[in-house]
Amino acid sequence: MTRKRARRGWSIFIISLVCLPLSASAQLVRGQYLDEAPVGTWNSFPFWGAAALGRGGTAFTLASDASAPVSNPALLALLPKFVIQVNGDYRLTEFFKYGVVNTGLFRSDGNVGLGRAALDFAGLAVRFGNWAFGLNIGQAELFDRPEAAYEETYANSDYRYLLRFSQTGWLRTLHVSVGGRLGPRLSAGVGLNYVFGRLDRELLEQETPVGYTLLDTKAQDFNGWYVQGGLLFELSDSLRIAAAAKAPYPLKARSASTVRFTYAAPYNTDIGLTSTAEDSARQPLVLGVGLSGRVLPELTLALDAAYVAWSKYLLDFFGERQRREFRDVVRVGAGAEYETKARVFGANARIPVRVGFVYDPQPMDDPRSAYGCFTFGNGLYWRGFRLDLGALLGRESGSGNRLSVKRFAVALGFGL
Amino acid sequence: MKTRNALLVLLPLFLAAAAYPQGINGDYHSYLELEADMFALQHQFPDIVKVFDIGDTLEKRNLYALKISDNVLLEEDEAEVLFLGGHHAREWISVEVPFLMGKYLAEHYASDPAVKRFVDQCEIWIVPLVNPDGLEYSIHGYRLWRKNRRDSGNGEFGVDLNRNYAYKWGVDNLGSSSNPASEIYRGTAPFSEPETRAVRDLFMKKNFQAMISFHSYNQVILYPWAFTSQPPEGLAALREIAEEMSLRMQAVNGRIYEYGQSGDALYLSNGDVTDWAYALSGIPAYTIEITPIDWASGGFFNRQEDIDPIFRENLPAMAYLIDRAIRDYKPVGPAAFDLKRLLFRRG
Repeated sequence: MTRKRARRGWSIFIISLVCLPLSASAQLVRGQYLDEAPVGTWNSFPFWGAAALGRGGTAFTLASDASAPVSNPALLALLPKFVIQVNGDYRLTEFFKYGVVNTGLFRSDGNVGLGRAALDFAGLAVRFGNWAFGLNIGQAELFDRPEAAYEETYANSDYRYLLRFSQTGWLRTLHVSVGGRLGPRLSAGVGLNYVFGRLDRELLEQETPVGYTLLDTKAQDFNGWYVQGGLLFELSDSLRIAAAAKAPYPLKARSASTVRFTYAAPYNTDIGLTSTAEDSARQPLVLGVGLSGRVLPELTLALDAAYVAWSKYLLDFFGERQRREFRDVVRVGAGAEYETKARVFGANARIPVRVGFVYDPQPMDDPRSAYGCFTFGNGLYWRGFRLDLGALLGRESGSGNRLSVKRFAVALGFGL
Repeated sequence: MKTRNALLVLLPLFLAAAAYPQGINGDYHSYLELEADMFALQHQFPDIVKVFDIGDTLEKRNLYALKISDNVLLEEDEAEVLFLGGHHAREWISVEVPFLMGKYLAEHYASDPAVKRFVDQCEIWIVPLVNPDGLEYSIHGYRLWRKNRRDSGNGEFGVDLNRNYAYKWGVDNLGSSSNPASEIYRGTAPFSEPETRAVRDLFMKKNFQAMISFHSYNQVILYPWAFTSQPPEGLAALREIAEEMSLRMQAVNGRIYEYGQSGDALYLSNGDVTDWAYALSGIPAYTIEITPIDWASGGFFNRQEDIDPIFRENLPAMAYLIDRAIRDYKPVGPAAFDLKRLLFRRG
């Protein structure tokens, strides 16, 4: 490696780092944010670590880090002998209609943003001969919503009126997988996933010191299992194709609801209504295909498509089948990864730089909408240590609200 | 074969009824629960109960009417009365009372001679839920939601269905509002909403002799006019019936339902269904604001265990109105009746 080339690697790394905050926006669909809708997109599979995020979410054929088997367990065979990784991200997502906001109770003049930072993934992969094993835990979905509140007070009075809506929730996946080479060019893997989570909603309306309190709470505890599988075929030393599938499964929920009206003394009225139910949300089948090729020694191109059978999505909430007019969608991601090299503290370092684009249609039939997202990122791999940065900037079209999504991810890992 | 096919069609609804023993809103009905219970009632009493789909809501839910009568598939030359509920989403009890009336009539037809007379000599129509979209938002969104789910733009939703009927619609801004943000927004025009159009069309096709529209709260029986405090023609008769209903209701649980002219006893409202029905046909038309008496005592909240006692105290009022309708009804005769049917069909 020449010094000139090494300098160019550093400059690309720095330029792309500076570019991270200079984001665009993305958009969502009216009706996207049903109560159980994940923040950002309904299509949360495959999981994108920072590296995959940077190259348009292409995750079916390229094994960048320990998160790879979560998307395609066959990639375990391509990972280093031992790799460990943690991933954190910050998401800034816009909402317009959700819960009781812009649906009748609260009104906003424009879109409302929600920022959330999380350590969203930790995982490791170990290879023994031709077979490798993966163990991961990750945040699959987030159900938080921007809090909405209205307060009224008067001068020279201790009267206070408060109206407040909040929703929080998450879904995590514990993933174990095994994968290996079935032949010189064919790899396969299977994964087993335990999903668990919680969703809490609260609406409080209150007059103090004298007056009424209306408290409406709904809570759900989720759990479920699903299996996934994947195949990877190396057509040549530079060309790969892959197929991955995530089986449909019932996400079970234990639901509880309480609506309570109280009125202060001297009335002391207290009327409550409590319900519990065993519910279920039938999650859809996902089928993915991927293609990647090394077109130059430093340049790899990748293309992923994930078909999600949302038309089969079913949701029961407190024993009632909810109306969800969903359609099947195909999310497509395309990306490029250009790898350069640099000298860092006397050792060679690899510096991949990534760009990509994602077309991410949402499942609601009416109105139809989709996100178009640009992604970019880079990495630094040095003496077994791995640092990846990725960003996604997207905007929705179709709903009229032009909602934006932004995601910035960082992954730290170590591999042997 | 017909029976088998009918069973195949009805079985899912029947099973659905069994599957909804108690949903998110407890013993109160959601839209789906009510739909299932109405069809279950029809399935159980096919000779005297028939469910009619009278229209669609903005969110594409069906609006259902329950007809209770002997020879239920025929339109007979006999008295007709109408009970409405659920104009306002948060008034959950106003759905239960008229529905339970239908259930009571069906279940007591064979054993209670008074009920048998009502069913044999009267066509009783019940629309227990005029505002299904609003009810669902009240259950899943905001419990105190009142209006339907009309999207008026700019983040404003809902038309007050009981301000959307044609008589004296929007006559002033006291009894209704032209502001979409208002709780009493009257809509852009009389009958602008599919829910009120469905009630109108049903009313126009029939020849009702009496009507009650159930609401809550305030524990009061109201008669026209609501748009003004000036008394209507026929005030004495309206008052006399209201007084009788109140006395009969008091005899059940001891609860006193005051009565009076709506625009005088409660507050002014224009474009409401009771004024419209009275103006159109001159029939005794009432709004019953169900218990409790005030907000501090619960307002739109009634305990689940109080649903049946509340129905029981409203039952004599409804029974009295049916009885009067039967007694006062003058058969129009075969020729005139045929003409009436023809006109109704065309209407």
